[in-house]
Amino acid sequence: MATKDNATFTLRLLAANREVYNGRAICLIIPATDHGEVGILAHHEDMIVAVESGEMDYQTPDEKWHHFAVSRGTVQVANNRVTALVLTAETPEEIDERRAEEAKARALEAMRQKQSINEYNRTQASLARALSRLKVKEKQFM
Amino acid sequence: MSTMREIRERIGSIGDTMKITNAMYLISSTKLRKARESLENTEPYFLALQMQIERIMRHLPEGFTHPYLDTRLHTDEANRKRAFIVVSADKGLAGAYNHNVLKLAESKMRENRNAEDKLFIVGESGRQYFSAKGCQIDEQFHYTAQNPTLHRSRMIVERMMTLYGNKEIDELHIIYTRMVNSLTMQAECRQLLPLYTLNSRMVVGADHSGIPLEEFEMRPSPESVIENLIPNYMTGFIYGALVESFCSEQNSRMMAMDAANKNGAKMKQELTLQYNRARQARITQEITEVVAGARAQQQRSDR
Repeated sequence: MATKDNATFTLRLLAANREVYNGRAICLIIPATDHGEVGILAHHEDMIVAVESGEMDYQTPDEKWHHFAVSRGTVQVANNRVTALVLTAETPEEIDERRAEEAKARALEAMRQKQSINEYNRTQASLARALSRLKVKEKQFM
Repeated sequence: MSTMREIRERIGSIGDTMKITNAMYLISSTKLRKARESLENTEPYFLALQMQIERIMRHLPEGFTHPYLDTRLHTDEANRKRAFIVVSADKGLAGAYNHNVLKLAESKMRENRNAEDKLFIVGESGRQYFSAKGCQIDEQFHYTAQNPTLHRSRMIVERMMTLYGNKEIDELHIIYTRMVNSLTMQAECRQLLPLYTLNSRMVVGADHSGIPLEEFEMRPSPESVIENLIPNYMTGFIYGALVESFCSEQNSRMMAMDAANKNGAKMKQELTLQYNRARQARITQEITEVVAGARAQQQRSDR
């Protein structure tokens, strides 16, 4: 996916409690709200994308991929500068696999019961978070 | 002499109380520092977020509407359903901290109204105060004031935005305590919703003359971008208010405990003086008794 000439853009990835990355990147892949992924390369058209909780990856100029489990937020692309604002961003090392497994089991359990629409949305969101954490965690040893 | 034992016991109990107040003082100061740090860490994020929202507001299509951005200008002022988030402490022993917040909340609620106010209370002491007064408070809203987290403020915002979107509330105010500096704390009321009361630039179709407009594509739609941004923005404010209140609480407690320590030391000093006097008096009396006794014996043997 990396272009050979390695055209880069400025990426600023901000989570609510820290600045995760601020520097050049070759590629950024984000989970979009319309159930798909959006890949951003250098000189992308200006846009604002709503981010769903899921897996976010970016590639730094040394062609290394970095994986994160992120929660809802937005990504703004303007003049080859990309600002990603998400509430949380966790690296595979930070994710507690057992806790995510438990959360997943809890959410699945709750889904089987009768719930109000509000409760249903909440369980579905927590299930999505648990799944994306587990998915990112798998990449730790890859 | 029983008074001497009593004084000794009192000195002991004051010493024990001082151990507690001193420990509370130290605990409060570390908690304060920790909360401050975590708030500072979130600042770059929320600044960037605010800029992004302002930018998006400039690029929204003409006549765009969204439940979160509704201005409620069509409803009569006196009939608007107001909601108050009141941030109090979980326990007392913090000087006038709780009292100031609750007093402000009461005065705000007393303003002439037709519609009923909804109360959402953070912290146990506020909850007890208002339920004892017979005010209607939201039962499911059960959050502690201890160690504020982003997650907690997100849960609060989620609830508030749902209520606002369903038109169950028209205005949202938060009553919290701000630390003006390390000595003065001030209870404050701030309106959070409708959004334009928080930031006048956050309204669709505001005047942006002089600011160049770029072409932005919003994916998948402006609605979903707004839906993701606004709650996060509100989360920042609520989190800030929770941390400010928590810091103020700890600071008030520190000041209260410091005063308690000083009073304790003073009392201990006075009591020690009393104790020494009593001891001295007893020794003098004993000597007098012994001397008088010896003299009596001598006089008898002389005879």
